[in-house]
Amino acid sequence: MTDIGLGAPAGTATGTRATPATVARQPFGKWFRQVGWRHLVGVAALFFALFPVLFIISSSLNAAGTLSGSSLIPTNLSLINYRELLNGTEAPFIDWFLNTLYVAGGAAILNTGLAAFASYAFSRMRFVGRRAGLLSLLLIQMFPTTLLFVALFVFVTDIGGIFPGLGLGSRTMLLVIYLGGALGVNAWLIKGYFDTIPRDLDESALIDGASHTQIFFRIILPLAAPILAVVALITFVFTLNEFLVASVVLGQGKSENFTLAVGMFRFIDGQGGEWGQFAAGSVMAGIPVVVLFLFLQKYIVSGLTAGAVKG
Amino acid sequence: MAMVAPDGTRILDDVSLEVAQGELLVLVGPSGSGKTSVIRAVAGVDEISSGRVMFDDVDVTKVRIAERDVGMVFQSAALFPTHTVRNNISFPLRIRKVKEPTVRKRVAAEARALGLTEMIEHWPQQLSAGHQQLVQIARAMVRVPQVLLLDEPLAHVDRPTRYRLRADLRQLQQGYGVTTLLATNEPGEAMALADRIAAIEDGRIQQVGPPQDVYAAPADTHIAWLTGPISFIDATVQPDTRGFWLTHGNFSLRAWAPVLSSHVGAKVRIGLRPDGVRMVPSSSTRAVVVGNSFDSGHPVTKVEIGSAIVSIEALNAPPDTDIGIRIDHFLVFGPDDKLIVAVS
Repeated sequence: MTDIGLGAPAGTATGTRATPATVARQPFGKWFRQVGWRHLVGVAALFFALFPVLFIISSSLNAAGTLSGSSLIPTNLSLINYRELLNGTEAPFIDWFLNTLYVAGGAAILNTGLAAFASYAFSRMRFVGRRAGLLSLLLIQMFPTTLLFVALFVFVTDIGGIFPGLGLGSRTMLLVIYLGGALGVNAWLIKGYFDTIPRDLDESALIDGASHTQIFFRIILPLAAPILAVVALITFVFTLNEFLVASVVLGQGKSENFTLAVGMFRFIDGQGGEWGQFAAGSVMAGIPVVVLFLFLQKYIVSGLTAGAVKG
Repeated sequence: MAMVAPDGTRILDDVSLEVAQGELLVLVGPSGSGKTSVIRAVAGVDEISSGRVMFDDVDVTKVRIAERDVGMVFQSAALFPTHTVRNNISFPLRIRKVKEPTVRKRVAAEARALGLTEMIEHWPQQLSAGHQQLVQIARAMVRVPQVLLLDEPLAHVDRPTRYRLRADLRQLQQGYGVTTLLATNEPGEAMALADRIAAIEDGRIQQVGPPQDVYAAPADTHIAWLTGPISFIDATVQPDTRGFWLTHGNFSLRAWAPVLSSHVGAKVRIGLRPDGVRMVPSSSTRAVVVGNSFDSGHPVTKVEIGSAIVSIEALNAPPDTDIGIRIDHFLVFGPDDKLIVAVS
């Protein structure tokens, strides 16, 4: 047998790689300096990341419902917090959950779509105000959300005077506000990705008789699936967690219209102190994100590994 | 026609070309000479600042790209990565809402003609560069467009495949009789494919003609390079009672051309094509064999004439052999690189 391995002992069948035995024979100090310390950092990071999750899960299973009574390993396990939430004895939790899915899901889908349209124009067309438009999108994103509150409050109140369905306490109004909110960042992200798709593809399709709409839907969008998945996921998670704008728009309305963030804050704001139910709600609120991630992960990974776009 | 860049640079200047029905015209020129710009202007991808693009007698300058009825093959593999080979080829037909049985028939015919039938369900990224270009050619031809545009279609294909693809391309183009414009900077490709050659430099057409004519009398040294192998010898023009001598050291070459009279005493460059030099044992013109090697894939012998190294057709002669040569035809270029005269 011909041995083609580098540095491997002659006669070994698989000469192209160091065998596990040679790795094990490395002195511990050298192994630790090259590889081992990464394990330590990894474990520390993992602990740091998982601690809150563990803590919230254990509190959610704690019947006492107080923070002081909970420990990392709960003493009296019980599902009472979950049962109370789902029965809606104290608060319309299921309504909140559905509201959140409506607002976050709607924002994720519509925002990604709108941002993709905008990015296509910015990436592929040359028009007066293109540069100014791009820059102002970026600039507007730089102002903190708190600047918005007064204007938003007045705006939503006035709208409610004309269209009562869209006034304070309207979930759809909140969704519309979110649509504008993250458009800039998302448009920049997607535009960056579109720019990497060779224009030869567009031109080739143009010559073959395709319109811009056909090029966008048939050629560009499928190729941009990875970034679309990422943007949708980011928007969904952001919207799910968003509290400040949501409480301005929804906070004064009926409690059935709350999102999870607004509603669950009521559990813990001062007099309530329902930490057990708050924890149980948080755990359940995490489920859609995990599901969405598992679902989109396939697209993110497959899109990246296809590596189809060569310059 | 002319094309001016936004910053005012003239990309194409006073370019005027006429391609006959069914003809294959090859645009040769170095990188950045404007070949691609001409092709893109004809396709309608880039706008021209003045002039017109005519197909037959129809002015298509203002006609939208989609309605121009051209097929185009790009240098890079511009295949849609999310479409299979079949769907790539059928794309132009489907976009134009051609009926499904016709689509299937045309795609199958095109795939068969280009030997793509076996990989019809593959993804573009699974194919070799050569096959990707074939798919592009199939996609461009599937509609049988009025005009076929090829922008360095074989530049990224390895050499053996390139020779085969040239033959395929030529056969297909002649089979359909489609009027074709091809850009390349590869002399072999230009010579092998062209009905006529148009040499372009700095956005201007320098010379148009059949490949043999351009090869035999290229308008300047750049075009000489672009149309085939050539070696140069610097020389001085000396008058004689019965013509002129081009001399370089102890080497001298007789030329009768009267046009040289205005260059007496001037420095010129003699251009020698390999096929213009023969070995003749009894000749008084001597050369020394320097070595045998390959020049763009062909065996050549390098000989020293005067003090210049010249490539000629391969001889079976070992280095340092002193041989007699006869120069059947040669080119004389002026100091500005323009052709003064082709002597044969």
